[in-house]
Amino acid sequence: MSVLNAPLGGYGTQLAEGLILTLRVSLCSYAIGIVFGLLGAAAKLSRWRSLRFGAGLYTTLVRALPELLLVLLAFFLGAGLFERLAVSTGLALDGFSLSPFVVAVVALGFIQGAYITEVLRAAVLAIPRGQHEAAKALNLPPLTHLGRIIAPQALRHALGGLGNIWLNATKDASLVSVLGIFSDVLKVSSLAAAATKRYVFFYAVAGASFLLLTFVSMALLERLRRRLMPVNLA
Amino acid sequence: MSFSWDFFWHDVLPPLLSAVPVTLALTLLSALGSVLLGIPLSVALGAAPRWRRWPAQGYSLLMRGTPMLVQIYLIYYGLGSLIPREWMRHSWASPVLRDAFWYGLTALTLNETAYVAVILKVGLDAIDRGQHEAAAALGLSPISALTRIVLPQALAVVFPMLANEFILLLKSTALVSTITIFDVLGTANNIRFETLRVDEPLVGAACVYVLLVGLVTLICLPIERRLTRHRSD
Amino acid sequence: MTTSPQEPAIEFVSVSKSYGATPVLSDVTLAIAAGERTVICGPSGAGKSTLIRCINGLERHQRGTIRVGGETLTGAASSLRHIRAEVGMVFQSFNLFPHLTVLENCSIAPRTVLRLTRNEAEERAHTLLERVDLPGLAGRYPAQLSGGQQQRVAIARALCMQPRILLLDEPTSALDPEMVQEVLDTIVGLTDLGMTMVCVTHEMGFARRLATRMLFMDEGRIVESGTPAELFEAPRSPRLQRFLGRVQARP
Repeated sequence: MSVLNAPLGGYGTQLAEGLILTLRVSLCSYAIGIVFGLLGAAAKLSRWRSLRFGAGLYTTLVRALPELLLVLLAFFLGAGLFERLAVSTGLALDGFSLSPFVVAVVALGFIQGAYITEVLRAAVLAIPRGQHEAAKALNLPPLTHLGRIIAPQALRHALGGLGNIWLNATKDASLVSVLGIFSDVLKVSSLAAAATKRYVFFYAVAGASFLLLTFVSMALLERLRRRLMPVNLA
Repeated sequence: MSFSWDFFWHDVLPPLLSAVPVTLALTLLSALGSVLLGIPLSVALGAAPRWRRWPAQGYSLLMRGTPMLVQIYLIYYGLGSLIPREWMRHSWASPVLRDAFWYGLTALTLNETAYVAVILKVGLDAIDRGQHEAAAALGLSPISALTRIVLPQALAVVFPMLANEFILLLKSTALVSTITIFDVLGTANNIRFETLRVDEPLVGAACVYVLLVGLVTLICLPIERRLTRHRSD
Repeated sequence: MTTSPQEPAIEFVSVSKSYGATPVLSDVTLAIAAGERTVICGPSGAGKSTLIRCINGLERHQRGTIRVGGETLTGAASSLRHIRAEVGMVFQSFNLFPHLTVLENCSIAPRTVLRLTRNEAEERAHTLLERVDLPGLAGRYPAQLSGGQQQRVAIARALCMQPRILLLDEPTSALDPEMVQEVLDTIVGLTDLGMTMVCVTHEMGFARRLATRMLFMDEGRIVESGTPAELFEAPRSPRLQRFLGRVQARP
């Protein structure tokens, strides 16, 4: 990695480490987003109106607020609230505090979950009614129905949307640079730029790093798409 | 530190509401700019010759493949560092060159153009080839055909997508708070720094943004109805 | 574009066109005099539509020369615009502008291309809408009209440019059967305008009423040419004989 230092004004190693942090933030937030998304979609598709309403509130509010504001809210308000709640209910010891990484990643995952909810919900609804009717006629147990009829087909419909949300996740990961305590690739670039006065150069490097993530992601997504959908669904 | 309603109503909401015009100005101006620039870009995206198509696709990939924050910093710090000191201080353009607002607006517009062009292209592709042919057969010039026949229909088709995109744009404007622009989030952060109170400013900003998004959504409904009044479906 | 009486309104000299490896027009040569009404018939894929679409440049021919009103068709935008201002076209699928009213459909080209004032253009539009027997529909949108009405508006729209040549590309093929007659009658009613007309159609009875000359095309070539009487009563080529045997006549 130190071989990168020379062309990058001595910052090569830090930038590479920053890129790895960005990748970690993206992956963890996306994974958490999937969890929120599955719960949200299940709630939106459920029989109980209160669940549907709650999930609707979740997606509407999250999609109406800027991501940066949500991250700040999570950091300054949400983390504290959660910590106090955990201590008062006895789930955690006094002095418990969440690591900043966890807070940031849960916040970003919370945001992505709202969009994933919509994608999954639309994907499940896109399955033709006849599929469910056939499963019922065959007397398939509910778990089989879910696991082998609904899930695979929904996944195919959702692939495009989920891929787009991943691409957004890699870009939103740059928001942690604003919090000051994370040395992601954008933060390192900002510091390097200010120190060397080579603003255009280092921000271009930051941009290139994210472009790299984007291109690799797009290539992998394309491969995944081809493996999961060898035949075009009618 | 508990939530102080008094502080909220008297010291947080008023400055935040007075910052709404800044947010709206950023949104509306970049929306306008991105549509104006997006029209030629969307035509280029669908152009037949490669030398016209590839630069357009490259621009689109660049803008959509990198984070908005990077683009904002690049324009504000990068462009800012390239402009000669003389111009900054003593030229007629100084007010513009020294005000972060214009850098933020430029970054937002350049970025949004790429997204708008993709949407417009969907609309242009949806227009039946016969419309182009009828316009050509009547002798309309290519520009006339585009502005009077094809584009109005394309806009009507993709209006919901455009409306959604402009709501995303409204949210993106919050990012320019990082370069000292006093939009809603910028003002909220300023209150945070000055008063060391965190809950009220951030919650206040959240309320204001929810209101703004709701307002924009409400405004778009009658516009959509008017654009599609010629349809029978 | 001015033509002396002897000069043909439309002239093709050895025109050929292919889509990739497939030939669509093979060495077509023909001359259509001013005021002639030519109907082109033939089996599907014969190149009939391609031929008339070459006349106003919607398709580009690859070999040979096309002259319209004495002016040679090059690829240049200015020559195309000259020609298109004098050549009107009626499409199989009408291609009315759905976001404009009937009146606006008819007046938009006169206003933007011929630079008529709004009043002049609208007056002309009203006159022509009356001519195609649709006087009261000026304020409606195309989606509110029947297919037959839409096609008649399309005819009026083309006529508003006062073309010397009118091209009709299977004008009734996309219509429900009960509306075909009204459109055919409208077209026949235009003969007093003295325009040069070239029409591609499968309606043989209509062809007899309209045409001063008929062309039978097959596989990109003009196989037979003559008056309607000659083609219908005394077809010379076996291909035409077979074709006529399969086509029903409607007046």
